[in-house]
Amino acid sequence: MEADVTASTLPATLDFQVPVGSTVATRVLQTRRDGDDVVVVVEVSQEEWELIDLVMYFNLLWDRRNPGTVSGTGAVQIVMQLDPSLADRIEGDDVITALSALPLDDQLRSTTSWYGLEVTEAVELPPELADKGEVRQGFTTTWADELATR
Amino acid sequence: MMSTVAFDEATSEGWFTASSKAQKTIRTLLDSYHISYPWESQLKMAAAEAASAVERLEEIRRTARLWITDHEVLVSGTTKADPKRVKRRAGMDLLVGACEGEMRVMRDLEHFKSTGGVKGADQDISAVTVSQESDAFTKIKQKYTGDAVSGFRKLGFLIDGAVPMDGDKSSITMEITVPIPPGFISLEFEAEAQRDGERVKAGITVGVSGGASVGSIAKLGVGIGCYLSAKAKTGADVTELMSYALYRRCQESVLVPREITSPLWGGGRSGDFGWVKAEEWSKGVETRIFGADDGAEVSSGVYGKLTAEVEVSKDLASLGFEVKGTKGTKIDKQSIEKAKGRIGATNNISSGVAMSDGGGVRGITQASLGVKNLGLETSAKFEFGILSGGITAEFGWSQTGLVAGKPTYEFDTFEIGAALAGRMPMNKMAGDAIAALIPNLVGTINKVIRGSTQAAQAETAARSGGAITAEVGSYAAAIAELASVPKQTWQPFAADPASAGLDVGSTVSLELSGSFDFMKNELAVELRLGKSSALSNAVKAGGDVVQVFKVDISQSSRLLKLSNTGGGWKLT
Repeated sequence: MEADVTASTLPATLDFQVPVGSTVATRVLQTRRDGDDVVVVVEVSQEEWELIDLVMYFNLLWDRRNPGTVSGTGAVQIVMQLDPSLADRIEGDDVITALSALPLDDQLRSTTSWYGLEVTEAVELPPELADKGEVRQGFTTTWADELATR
Repeated sequence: MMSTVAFDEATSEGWFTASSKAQKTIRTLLDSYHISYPWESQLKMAAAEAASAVERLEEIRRTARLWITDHEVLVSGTTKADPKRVKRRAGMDLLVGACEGEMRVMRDLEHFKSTGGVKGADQDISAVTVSQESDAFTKIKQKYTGDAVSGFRKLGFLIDGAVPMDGDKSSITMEITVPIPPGFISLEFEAEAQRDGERVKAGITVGVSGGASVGSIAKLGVGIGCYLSAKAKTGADVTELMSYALYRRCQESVLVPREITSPLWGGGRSGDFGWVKAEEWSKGVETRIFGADDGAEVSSGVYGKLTAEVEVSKDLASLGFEVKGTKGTKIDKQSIEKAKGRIGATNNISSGVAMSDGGGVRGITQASLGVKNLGLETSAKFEFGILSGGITAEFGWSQTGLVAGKPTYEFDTFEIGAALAGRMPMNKMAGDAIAALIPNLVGTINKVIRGSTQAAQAETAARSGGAITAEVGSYAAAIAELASVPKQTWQPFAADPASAGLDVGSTVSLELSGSFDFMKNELAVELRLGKSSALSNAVKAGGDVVQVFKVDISQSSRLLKLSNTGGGWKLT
């Protein structure tokens, strides 16, 4: 059963911790849970994205990325999935509440416990198309297939 | 036993030849011996006194032998004596014989006093030990022991003391600036030493630079200078290699006559004997150091550089750029074997013909034993408050031969590096600082790697060297793993001011640096803890404040080193 968090609790700010001790500030836009598949969609600033990209936080290894790029000139959205082996530590479907309640140094809030599945940024549309919707560009990773087989 | 007067007569070379230090020491020891053990009372001496007399005689004999050894040289299996000290040599030989005769008498006496007879007394005086050396003998022994190989070796303790532990690094820089508004002229001196693994490396740079201020925020400069650096297993070997490199430079230059090189490297001897002694010393260096260590090397050369400094924000942020070109010669075991066949062999003259062992020929220079090389180093540095860092790139070419009289070079060095350092009050140095430094450093390194890889992919020619491979991306991932090391792991590396023993007011820095050697496919990351002290003096010139004198002494210890050659990380 897939459950989306209600819009009243989101977006919410949530920090993740890099094992070495620094933090990555994110804005959680959406969460969903389907059994052991716990997925969050976060937005990060341009500055945060530069470090995420170069230091490969959220397991965004360069050789795991499918073709595609993000310019990093604006906010970047990351869809990422929790390591399935840790999913049973979250009770219920309210993922954001569960994560927020955990201390920063908990394993569930470590950048190494999350796997980036998709990284995108908004594409600026011509004025005549602006109200038609949103177009995003970026890249996916190979983690989705690999996590599904675990 | 020979009297002091007899010794003086036997060793005098005439009024115009001064006494050597060995002669003066022997006089002192002889006087002491004759006073302590006068011949007329020798029969009354106890066995212990006779044994003591043997030791004093051994000191005299050894001193004479030190002088003899210093005044002869072994050439192609034949010992040659200094032709300018023939009489003194004969006197020293006479003294040695007199000492040995007296020592046997004293051995008989010792035995007689113990047993009542001389039969069975120990007459073997080939290996007499001295239980307590006299001050005079200790001093003369130190003098000759140092001179025998090279006075430069004595300076080796400075290097060993500056970098006693693996990973240690020390440097001293001195800059004297003469302001000539709107420009300046600077004299620069830098000495640095570093111990890495089983070897120690040290270098000296001396240069002069000049330039001018552009507006109030930028300073442009141009400089030239020379460098000398060596790598070996001990500080003494390093300093002796530096001496060797200077000797080789002199022997390969038409500008330096042997009247200068022979006394300097021939133990003060001149003429053919001094030349031969210096040559034998240089060949001995090759055998002792290069022959025993494939990794030993010494480089010397000149450099030219362009510099730019920009003050982005007064007293807060600044940027520095430098492009430096070098031209020099590196000597190691391989280069010597290529030049003359084997280590320690007779040197060739510049035309390639082997020289005579008997003496140098005035006006003829020796063939080079080194490999000529060219280098290009570029760097960009920044300072922002307590943070500083930068990136560097190093390129090098070594000469492979001559084509139509023109040297050909092979590209053999390509290395990039990045560093980020934080200078903080020592009691604030803790894991939080490391947490902030590591991700930024990793990001900087990976940015450089990504940029280099993309540039190489775009430029096919750049890949032809085989240096840049597809594995570079996996190295970047390996670097990123540094940020995954739990912060608790880093805590032991945080500074402890109490145990560090740092002076109040010292600047403490934590530096994380990374480098990638494209030729070796080797990645290295280091975390260093350092301290530095700076002394400077500024004056006002042309409306600007100019630092006219600056000395900076820095020392750092490596807390950890991670290296990766493709087979995983290795922690040192």
